[in-house]
Amino acid sequence: MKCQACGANPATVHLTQVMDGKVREIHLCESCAEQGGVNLQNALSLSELLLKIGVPEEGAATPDGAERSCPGCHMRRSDFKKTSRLGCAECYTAFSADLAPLIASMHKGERHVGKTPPGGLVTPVVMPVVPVPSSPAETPSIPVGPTPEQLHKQLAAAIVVENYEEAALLRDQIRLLEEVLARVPAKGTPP
Amino acid sequence: MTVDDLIRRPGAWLLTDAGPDTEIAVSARIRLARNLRQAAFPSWAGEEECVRILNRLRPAVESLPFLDGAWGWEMSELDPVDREILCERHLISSELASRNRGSAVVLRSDESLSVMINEEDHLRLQVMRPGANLMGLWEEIDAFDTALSELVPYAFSPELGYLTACPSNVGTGLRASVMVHLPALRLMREVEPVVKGLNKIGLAVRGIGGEGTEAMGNMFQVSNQMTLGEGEIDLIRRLEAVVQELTTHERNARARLQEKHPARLRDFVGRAFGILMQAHILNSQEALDLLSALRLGIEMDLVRSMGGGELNRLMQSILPGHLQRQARRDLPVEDRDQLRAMMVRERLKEAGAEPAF
Repeated sequence: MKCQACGANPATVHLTQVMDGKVREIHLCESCAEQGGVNLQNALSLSELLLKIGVPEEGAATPDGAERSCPGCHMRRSDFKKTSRLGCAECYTAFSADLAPLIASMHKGERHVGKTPPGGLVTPVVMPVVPVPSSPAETPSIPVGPTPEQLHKQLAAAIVVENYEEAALLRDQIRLLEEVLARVPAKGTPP
Repeated sequence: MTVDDLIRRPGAWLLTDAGPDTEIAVSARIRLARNLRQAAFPSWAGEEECVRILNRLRPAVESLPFLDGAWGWEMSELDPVDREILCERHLISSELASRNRGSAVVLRSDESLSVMINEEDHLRLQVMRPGANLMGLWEEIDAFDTALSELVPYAFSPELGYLTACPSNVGTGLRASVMVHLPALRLMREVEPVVKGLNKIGLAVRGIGGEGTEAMGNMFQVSNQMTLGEGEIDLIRRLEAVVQELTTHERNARARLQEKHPARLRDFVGRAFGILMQAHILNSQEALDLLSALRLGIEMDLVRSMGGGELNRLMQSILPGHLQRQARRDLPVEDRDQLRAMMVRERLKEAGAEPAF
């Protein structure tokens, strides 16, 4: 098994954490473990470790090979990796592929439960990244492929087996699909 | 209004007269992380942008009746000792203390409600009181937060909740903590299993002034680690139940000490008393550890003539920032340790404290 952080050296440090009934595992090589301050004498939080060393996922670069950055504040992915602090609210969308596994490992759930600012704030701040449509006026057609329900099932399955990379991709796909579907006029609405 | 006006009285987390309710669960606080919708988070924003954000947020915060004639300071107005005093009173974090222009703290004059502006997040709202009434604190901070949200647009996503600079705070943005004094559990070497058990249910236990189970004065802070996927009320109920259980644990440990190891208990309290009465050099760690033993003695009626409230005041006054301000000058560490030992001896004598065994 290769190290999950550098992807190069064989993983020799295997960490398991049971928190809140969830089992999380991470496999690292010796040098990445050391870099992350793994000390077997101390209790260790896997999320802190992930924050420190980062685990690479798909989606590090944009299709043209450039480093991903936030359109809101111009923070680059590498800036986030360095400081483990985000630059602005929009970074949550820009770096969603990096954040999804991190958030999943840190928290009890993956959706907000609790207070919502009053005043009916319904506009989501986190907007899905939608590919540029060929014409803004053009109504998108219903995509052929899995339905959101199917994707949600796949997402749940990926989370169960702790495949966070897959889960992050699925979630992006769901967001995109839901965004597209929302723009499709409901049945019976005159065009 | 200056920081000096604060130091003559006990901080909001300390009661002047601690009753049995605050003997073990000393104090509780809730902190909410909030950010503006369209502005870079403080660490990424740069100083000028932070100043602009501060100029927008501070008047909004100060206009709320909750703060009732707010006091506040921009970090650049404060010298290092001022900052240390505010840290020791739990009003600002060391992160805020390390900032300058563009970051500020605003507080209600009784210090129980405060706001850090441009710390890690644009806003950190905080409420704290002696005891462990987290639900009461939640009601207070919730109302304050709601009122503020009507004046400034928060960064919020229906899926991820309140968006914060660090993903570890995203969701409710809520950190609730209770400071607990656990000398008997420490003496019986039972703190570690408790810490491990709490970690398993997603709660962090940190020693005050130290990491892990290293604690100054046997004070531990129990807080939630997770902010996404559990509502505020559920979390607070859970934490309150845990604190209740911890309190019972500590009380049982005290009873067991009394019953099965009375000599060990008296030795622990007596030695602490002896050193406090006779030492001429005391660093903060040692002083707080010994005062913790003395506190245990007072609470178990093994020490006469000194109340918990007096002890609280003494504890606060010997912290490095408070100590230097009372001495009216910056002191090298050795001089501080001597002054601290002198203050402790004098206060204990004044109070007429003596072992009751």
